Amino acid sequence: MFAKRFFRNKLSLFGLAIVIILVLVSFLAQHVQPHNPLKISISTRTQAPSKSHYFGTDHFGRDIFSRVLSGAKISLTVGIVSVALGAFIGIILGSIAGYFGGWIDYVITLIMDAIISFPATLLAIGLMSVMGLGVTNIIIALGFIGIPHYGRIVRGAVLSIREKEYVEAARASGSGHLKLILIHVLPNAMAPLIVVTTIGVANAILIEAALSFLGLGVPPPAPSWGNMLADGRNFLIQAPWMTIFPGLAISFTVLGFNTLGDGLRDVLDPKLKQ
Amino acid sequence: MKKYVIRRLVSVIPVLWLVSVLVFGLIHLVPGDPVLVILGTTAEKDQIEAMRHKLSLDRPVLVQYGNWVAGLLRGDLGHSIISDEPVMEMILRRMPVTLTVAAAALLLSLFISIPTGILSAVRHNTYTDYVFMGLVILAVSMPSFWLALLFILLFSVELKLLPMMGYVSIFTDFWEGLRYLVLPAMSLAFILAALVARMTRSSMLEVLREDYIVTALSKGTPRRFIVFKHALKNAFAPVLTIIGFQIGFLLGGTVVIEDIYSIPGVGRLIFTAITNRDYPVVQGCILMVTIVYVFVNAAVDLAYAYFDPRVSFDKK
Repeated sequence: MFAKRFFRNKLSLFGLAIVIILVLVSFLAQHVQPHNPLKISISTRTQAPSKSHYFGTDHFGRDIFSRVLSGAKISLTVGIVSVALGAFIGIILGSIAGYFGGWIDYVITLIMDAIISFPATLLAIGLMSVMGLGVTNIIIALGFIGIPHYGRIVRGAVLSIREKEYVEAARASGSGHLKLILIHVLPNAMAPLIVVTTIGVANAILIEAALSFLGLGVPPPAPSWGNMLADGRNFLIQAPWMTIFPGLAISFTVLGFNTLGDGLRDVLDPKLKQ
Repeated sequence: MKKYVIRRLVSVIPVLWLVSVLVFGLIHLVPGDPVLVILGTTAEKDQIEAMRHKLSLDRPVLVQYGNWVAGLLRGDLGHSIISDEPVMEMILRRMPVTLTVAAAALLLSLFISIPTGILSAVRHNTYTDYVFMGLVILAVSMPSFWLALLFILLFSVELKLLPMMGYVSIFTDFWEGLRYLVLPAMSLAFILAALVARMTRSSMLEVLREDYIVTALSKGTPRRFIVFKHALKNAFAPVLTIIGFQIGFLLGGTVVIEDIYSIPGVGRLIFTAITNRDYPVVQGCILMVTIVYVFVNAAVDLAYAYFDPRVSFDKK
């Protein structure tokens, strides 16, 4: 039923196709890239797009097409792993808050409200400025920022079914807290969670790019799309292709995850459709 | 309503307290000794001790926090390590610039999004609707800092219409200030406009299907009158929520955009402070922008109650 509805939804299919392409690119980048993305070649500096360099070269003569392909792996890794981390902690905290209620709920909700009170990009900048550069730190920072988004959804779902008869019955028949939450409560939150995590990957990729653009993300010379944009900014007039192609890659990726998320929302939970 | 206003404002207090704890804790996330990170490993022992004392890092954490919060309540966020200026003064001097950029972007986005959303809803399932919604999906996917670079390329380098970077206050020279504001505001407004247009469209569609609208139409009330007089006000409450959420994006985005356009706001201050490892300034900027965001959100909630009187703490 779900598969049938999903494959009838053009938006979902479009998003899924982009995501599949990106995943393939990130795995196969080193086999399909025409040049070494880190190889410096002074003789080919800032060359315009051509047959030998499809997206041109940067100020170090590095092939931008190869760097864009390599950048997919970094962006996808950061996006997916940070969302998985935030969702994992968010689900645990949201379940505990909703299931036990009382002061535990108050404290956890307060913590989540406080985290969500920060403008996300600003909090990411603050965390990266003290934690230092690196993919692991970006994942930790973005995972932390994502926690309340997933926690709130799970808490809401738990609250709505905590007092339902079948949950009472399971409780009376001796099911433990963990079993109750895993078997009866969480499946009810899956639809909105899948939608929010998919769109969450797009947001994480955008913030990672912003951090790397500002020099607070993936350290150079790693070919992160944000880093490439930062380089391009200094050669905006002489070599605009240094800016155009990495930006297109970010937009294409975010478009894929956003449309997949929108499509999944239409299929899984039409009530959430905006 | 008065009770609702008071309770909404009081609900902000515990959140702000926890925000202050998180911001205070930032300096303790610095790997290793923050003083050595600031001064470098070659610093003399007495320099290290002096800096440790200056930052109050030689006291127990709870005492440090207590002193920091006490200062905060007096409007004292400490002093910059580099210039020794009071952090609060540095921020207050730059905050109007950041707020002007954010407000310009918000106004521009509303100017684009509300008519677009209404038109899409009124012409539901027509080519106008498809084109607008297609543009919305594209706009949401484009990073604002990339758009900023493309706008510089197009409007400043190619067409030579607008300045590439810099800032003139609109309060000093309105028209010149406006010229400097256009590109930063446009860079930020696109995503926001897309999100608001999408929400306006879906909210209007919902309201336009309500019985009272159908009745008014069947009575022969002009469609234009119904859309603007009846539907828009009722459709506006959910739109406000999305605007409230996006203020955070706007403030965070402004920080990045300020760096690109060399705008002397809080964002530029943060970057200079990060480069100089001036942690009191970094903490102060993040705290103040977040406080603005928390209060703007509270104001949006109160406005929501105005547009939808069913919303109230008292009617649970």
